[in-house]
Amino acid sequence: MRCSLLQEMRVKKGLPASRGAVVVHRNLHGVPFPSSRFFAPIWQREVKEQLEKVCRERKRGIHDLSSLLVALTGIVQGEIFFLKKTQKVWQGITVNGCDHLQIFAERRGEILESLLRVVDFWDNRVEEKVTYAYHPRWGYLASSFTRVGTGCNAYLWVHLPALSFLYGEKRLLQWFQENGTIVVRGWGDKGEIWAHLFEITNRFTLGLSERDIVSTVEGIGGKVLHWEEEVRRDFLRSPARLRAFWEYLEQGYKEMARKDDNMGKALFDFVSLWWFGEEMGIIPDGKGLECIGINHCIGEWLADIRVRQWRVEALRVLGVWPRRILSNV
Amino acid sequence: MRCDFCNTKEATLVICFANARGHSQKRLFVCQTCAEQLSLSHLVDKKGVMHTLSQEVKTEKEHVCSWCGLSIEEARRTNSVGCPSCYRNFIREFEEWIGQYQLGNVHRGKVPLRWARVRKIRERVEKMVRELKKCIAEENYERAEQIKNFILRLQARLP
Repeated sequence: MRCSLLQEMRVKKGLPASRGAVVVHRNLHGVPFPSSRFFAPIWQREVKEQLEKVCRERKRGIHDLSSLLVALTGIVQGEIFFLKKTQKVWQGITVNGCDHLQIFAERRGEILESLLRVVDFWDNRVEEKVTYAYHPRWGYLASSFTRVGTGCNAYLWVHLPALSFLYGEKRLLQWFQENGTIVVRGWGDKGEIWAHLFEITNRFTLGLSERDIVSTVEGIGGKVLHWEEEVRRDFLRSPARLRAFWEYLEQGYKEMARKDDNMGKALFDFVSLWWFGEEMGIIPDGKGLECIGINHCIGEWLADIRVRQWRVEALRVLGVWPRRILSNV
Repeated sequence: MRCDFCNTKEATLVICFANARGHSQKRLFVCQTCAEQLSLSHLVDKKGVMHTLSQEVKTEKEHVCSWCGLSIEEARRTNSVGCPSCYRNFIREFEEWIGQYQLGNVHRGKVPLRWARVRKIRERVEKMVRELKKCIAEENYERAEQIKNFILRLQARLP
C-alpha cells in the first residue's frame, strides 16, 4: 500500500510539490468543549453517540492517518471517526480532539475550492442529525478564539527550494508577511522553515466567509508556485547558478559533518536541495553526491532520532524526498 | 429564586443532593433553558463537581461561567473557552479579545440550517411589520388585520 501511495503522491518532474487541506472545526450544542475541565468520558461518549446517527459507512473507512499531512503536523487531533478516499481526496472526521468535531479534506495540489465542497458536504450531513453550538454574532463556537466564526482553516504546503535558494527564506517570509490575512510557518522548532517547506494558512476565521478564506490562501499559494516554476525554468540556463548550487550543496554537507546534533534544519535543507537537484537533472543518477556515500549518512542520522521521523514521513507524503535514500530510512 | 447556572432566569426546577443519611443538604436551582441542556446522568456523576460549581457561582458570580465554571482569568491565560455558554457569559470581555485575534466582530459565512430558517422568518416578520404600519397609516384596517394574523402565524414558527 505504501508503494502505491508514494507512486501516486510523486509530483510531476520539475514542478513544485504542493498539498492542500481544508479543516472545519465544529462543536455540539449543550456539551462542554474538550478544553473544559468538565469534558469527562461521559461527554466523549455523548459526542460519539450523537455522531453514530450520521455515518453508516463508518466501518468501511481505512482507519489510518499516517499518510495525511493534517495528522502528521498535528492540525487534526482526536479519535478517527470516519476516513475515506475518493478520487485523490482524503476526507474524514475526527472527534474529541481540540474541538468536538474536525471535518477535513486533503489532496495533492493547490486547488482548495474542491476540498471546501467536500468538507461542506460532510458538514451539512452531520448538521442534519446534530445541533451545532452557534451564536448569531460569533458564528460557530469553538474552544479557542482563533477558530470562532466560520471555524474554517485552509492549509497549503508548498515546497520552494529554488525561490529559497535564489532569494533566501527571510526575504520570502517577508513577502508573505506583507499580506496580513495569512500565516506562514515551517515545520521546524518554533515554526522555523525546514526543507524549504512553507505552510500557508489563514489568520482569521471571523469576519470572512469560507470562500474568502479558501480563495485567499489559494491565490497566494498559486502565485508563489508560479514564481517557483519560473525560477526553476531559468535555473538550468545559468552556469553560474549551477556552480553556486554545487558549492552550496558541498558546503552544506561539510557543515552537517562538523556538527554533532541539533542540525535538523541543515540536514533537512540539504535533503530538500538534493531532491531538487535530482528532479531538475542537476544531480545525475549514480554520480555526484552518491560517490561520497551521503545517502548512507543521512539515512543513519534520520533513523537515529525519532523526533525527526514525522518530518521524514511528511516529506514522503508530500513527495519531496530523494528516491535514492528512500530505502535507507 | 434565580437559576444557579445562568443566573438570569427564574428557576423552575430544584435538584436536591442527598447525603449518606438520606437528608438533603445541597440544593441546585435550575431554570427551564438550562435544564434542557443538562444531562441528568452528568449531574449524578458529577455531584461533587456541581456542588463546587454552585459554590463558585455564589462566591464569584461576576467572573465565572455559570455553566462550566471557567473563570475569566483562566480563559485569558489558556486562550480557550470551556463551553458554548462562556461566549454568552463573558460577552463583554470576549468582544475585546476576539477583536484582537480576528478580522471582524460579526460572523460572515455559512449559517446552520436551523438558524437560516429562523433568520428567514425574522426577516419576513420585519417586512410584514413595516407593511402593517403602512396599512394602519393608510387606514386600511381590513388588510392590517390579515397581516397581523400572518405575523402571528410566522411568530408561532419561531423557536
